[in-house]
Amino acid sequence: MKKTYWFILGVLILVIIVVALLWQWRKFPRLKEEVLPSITPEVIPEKTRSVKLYFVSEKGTTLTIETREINATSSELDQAHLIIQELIVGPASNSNLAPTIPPGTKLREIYFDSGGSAYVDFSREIQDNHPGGSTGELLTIFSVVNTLVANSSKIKRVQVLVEGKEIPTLAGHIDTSRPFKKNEEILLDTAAGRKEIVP
Amino acid sequence: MSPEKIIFVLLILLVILNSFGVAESSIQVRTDRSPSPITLPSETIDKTEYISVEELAELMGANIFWDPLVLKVLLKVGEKNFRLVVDSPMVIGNGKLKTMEKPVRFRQGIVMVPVEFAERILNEETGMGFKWDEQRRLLIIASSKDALASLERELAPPPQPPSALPLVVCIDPGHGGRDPGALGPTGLQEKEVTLVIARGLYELLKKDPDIKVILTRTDDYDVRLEDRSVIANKNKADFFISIHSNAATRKSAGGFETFFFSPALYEEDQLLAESENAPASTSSLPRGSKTADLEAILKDLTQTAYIAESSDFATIVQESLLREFQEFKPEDRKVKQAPFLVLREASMPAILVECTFLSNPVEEIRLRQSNFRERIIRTLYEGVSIYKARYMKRMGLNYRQAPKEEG
Repeated sequence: MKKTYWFILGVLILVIIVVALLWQWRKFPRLKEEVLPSITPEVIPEKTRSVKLYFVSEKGTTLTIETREINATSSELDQAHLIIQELIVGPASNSNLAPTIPPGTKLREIYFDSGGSAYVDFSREIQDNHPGGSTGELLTIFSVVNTLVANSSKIKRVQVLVEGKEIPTLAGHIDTSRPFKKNEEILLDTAAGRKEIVP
Repeated sequence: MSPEKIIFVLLILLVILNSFGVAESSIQVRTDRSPSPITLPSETIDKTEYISVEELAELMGANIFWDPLVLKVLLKVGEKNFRLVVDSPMVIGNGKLKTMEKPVRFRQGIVMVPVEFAERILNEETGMGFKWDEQRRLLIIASSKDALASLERELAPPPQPPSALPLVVCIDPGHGGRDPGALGPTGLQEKEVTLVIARGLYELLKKDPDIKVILTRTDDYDVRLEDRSVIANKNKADFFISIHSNAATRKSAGGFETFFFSPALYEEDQLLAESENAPASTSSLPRGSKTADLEAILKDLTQTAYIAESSDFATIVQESLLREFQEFKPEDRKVKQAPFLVLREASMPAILVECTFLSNPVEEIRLRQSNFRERIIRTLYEGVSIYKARYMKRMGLNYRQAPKEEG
C-alpha cells in the first residue's frame, strides 16, 4: 500500500514539473534569428570617413597605423562599433602588419560614460586565445585604446571589458581595472626617456 | 573676571604672541654654482620661512632693481621679469599674475619673500630649478631642471633608514599553477621557464652574504598577482624582480624586455571629468565610486614613490642583458614603463624582466636549453649585483662592515 502511495506521488510531481516546463516554453518562444532584424550600425549612405587603425608593426613589438576608409555613421557609438569591427578584422591583406585582437574575438558592446571614457566589451576569446606576454598584452590593449581615441574627439580614455565584466588583467600583467589614455610612447623604445648609466 | 579684564589679558597675549610670531633663524642653501653649503639668515613669520630677495637674487645670479617709493622690487632672471610689491602676495612673473600664500614683507630695510616664491613661482616660470625641503630647512637652487634633479639626488636622504641587515631580494617567478602563462609553439610553458630561472637566480644570490633571498612561489602553484607584492612587502624586501617570458602575435617578435611601473595614465582629468557630471550620452555603465578611484590612485602611489629607483634598476638589468646577448640583439631596446599589476603595490624598487619570446619558435628552442637558461640566470645575477652595489653606495651602506648610521 505504502509503495503505491509513493509511486503516485512521484508521478504527480513529475507531471507538475513537465507541465510547468511546457508552460515556460510557451511563454518564451525561441528567438528565430532569421526573422529578427540584427542590430547593425546606422550608416550614412554613400558617405565614408578615413580612420586610423593600430596594428602590430613588422618589428612585432610596436604598433603602427593603417589608414582605412570605412562607412560613416551618424552616431559616435555606431562609429566606434564599426572601428572596432575593423580592428577585429585585422590589417589589410597586402600589408605587412599583424592583427592585435586574438582570433575568434567578438565585439559585444561599447559603452560611453559622461566623462569621456569608453568601455569596450569583448567576448571571452580575447582572453582565451591571447598569446600572453607583457608585450602581447600591451599591443592588444593599446591598439584598442589608441584606435578609439585617435578617431574620436569625444573618447578620451578606453577600458577593455571581457564578457561584460571588468578584468584585473588581460593575461596576467597589465592592470586593466581602469580606463587608459591613448599612449603612443608605451610601445616605443624611448618610453623610459633618458637615463644615464654609471655602474 | 569681568569681560573687560578678559579682553585686556587677551590683548596682552596677542601682543606677546605677535612678537613671537617673528623668529630669526637660518636656512641651508645648496646651489650648483658653489660646491659648499651656504647658510642664509631667514625669518619665520607666521609659520612661513622668509628670505631676503636680494640674497636670493645673488644666489641665483639674477639682477635686482628696487623702487623705494612704492616699495617695489623687479627681479630679472635672464629675459624674465618678476615684479613684487611689499605687503602683496601677488607677483607678476613672466607676464603672468601669480598669487602666493603669504605676502612679500619689508623688515628692517630688507625686502623678504616667502620661500614659496622661489620654490613655486621661480621654479615654474624660469628655466632654473628650485626645491625647498621643509624638514631639513634646505633650499636647493640649480641653474636648470636637470641640474636640480641631479643635485636633489646627490643630497637625497636615504628613503629608508638603513637598519635591517642584510638586503632582501624578492624574486617572483611569473604565473604558475592553473595559469601556465604564455605557450611556445611546441608547448613549452612560461610558468616552467620562469620557475627554473627564478630558482637559479635564487641559488646564486643566496651565496652573497649581503643578501637574503625570498621567492613568491617555490613550485608550480597559484599565487594571485596582488599577493606577490604583499609577500615582498611583508618580508621588507629591498628589491623586487619579477621573471617572465614574453609572447606576441607576430612570431618574429623577440629579445629581452625589462619593464618598470608606470601609474595608470589618467587620474587627474578623470576625476575632473567625473565631477562635471554631464548627462550620459548613450548607455552608461555604473562606474566605481570616487572612493574606489581614489583607492586605485593610492595603490598606484605605492610603487610610484620608487619609480626613479625602479627605473635605475630596470636600466641596469636591461643593459646587462643586452651586453650578454649581443649575438641576437635585433635592435637596441631601452627599458619600458607600463602599469603592471604585480609591481603596483610593491613598496621597493621593482622590475619585471621578460626573458625572450616563447611565441618565437627560435627563442622557444633556446629557452628549452639549460645552458641558455644558465646564461640568463648569470646575467640577471650580474644585473642585480651591479644595482645592489650602486644602491648600497648611494645609501651609504657597507654591509660587510657595520652599517653607517645616518644623521
